[in-house]
Amino acid sequence: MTVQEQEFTEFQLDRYSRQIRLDGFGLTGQRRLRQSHVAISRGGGVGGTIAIHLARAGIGKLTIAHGGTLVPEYLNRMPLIMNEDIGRPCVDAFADMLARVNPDVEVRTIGEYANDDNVTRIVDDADLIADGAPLFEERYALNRAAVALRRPMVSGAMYDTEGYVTTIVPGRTPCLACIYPQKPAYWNDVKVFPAIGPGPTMVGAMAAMEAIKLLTGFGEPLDSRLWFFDLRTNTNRLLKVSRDPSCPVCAGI
Amino acid sequence: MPKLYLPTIMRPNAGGRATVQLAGGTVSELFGNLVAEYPNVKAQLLDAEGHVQRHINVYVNGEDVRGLEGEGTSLTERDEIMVLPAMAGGA
Repeated sequence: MTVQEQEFTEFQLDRYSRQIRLDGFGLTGQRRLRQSHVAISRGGGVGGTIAIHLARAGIGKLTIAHGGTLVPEYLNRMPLIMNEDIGRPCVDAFADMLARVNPDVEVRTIGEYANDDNVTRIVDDADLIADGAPLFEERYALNRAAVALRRPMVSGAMYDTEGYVTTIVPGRTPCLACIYPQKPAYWNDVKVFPAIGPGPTMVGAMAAMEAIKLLTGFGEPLDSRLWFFDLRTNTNRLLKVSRDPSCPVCAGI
Repeated sequence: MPKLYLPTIMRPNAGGRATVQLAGGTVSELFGNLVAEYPNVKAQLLDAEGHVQRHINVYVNGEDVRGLEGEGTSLTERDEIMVLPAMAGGA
């Protein structure tokens, strides 16, 4: 057994064996994942998918911020919940599922939605932020925190069967306010968007992969690119996005 | 003619169509022809001054027009234009 392999149990080496074989990932990538902490805003269709993929991949620590209790209309798309969880605090169900998926992952839950007052506490010492919130107010608060704290952030969003993902590296790529400086006037409720499972799953999977790439150095992150898809029409595009030199959030860095 | 991709939220006002081909030498002209053919799209796409609303990005062949000539960006017959509003669906 090599020195690097000795850092993992035999069971762990087995469970991660398929990804360790990825050229450019290896045990180095696996160790970097295990040493990493990702803070996720909301554990729903997008955020929950991010969480479950990172847990299966062997992330060291997850923080999930999500308020409220579970209702039936979440069941069509949230991967961290089952029928019997209805009525429970969302984060309790999320933590239980993630413990079953991979008990080696440390999971910290915060039963709140992100805002400017709690976002620093949510992010804490996370190496990367993942954004899956259904309201622009939460997304913009997270974006401001990412820029202020100079933390990379993966942002994934969807509507109907469309979705997009981008990776924000403050000071290098556009931030969310550069790309979308204003929210749509009609987006004033969490129920605004129609959704069917594969949509948020696609967004969450892509976002999880972005997180893995940034944390391990594997592959090519979406640098100033917005990856867009529409499952209804089989459309997908890699769109170029740029920093706004007058952005009120990130122009100064 | 240039090919315009419409987001889901606008398609009910465009006969249900995801893509349309319209004449237009610039992005602005194209959108003028779009709202002439589908008047109900106008309120979704343009503000009171007739400019693209700030929550909507426009891409020509994958490039954000804000980095090109804005709504004055020239178009050729084979160009693809995408209209992409901000989305926040997640939880």
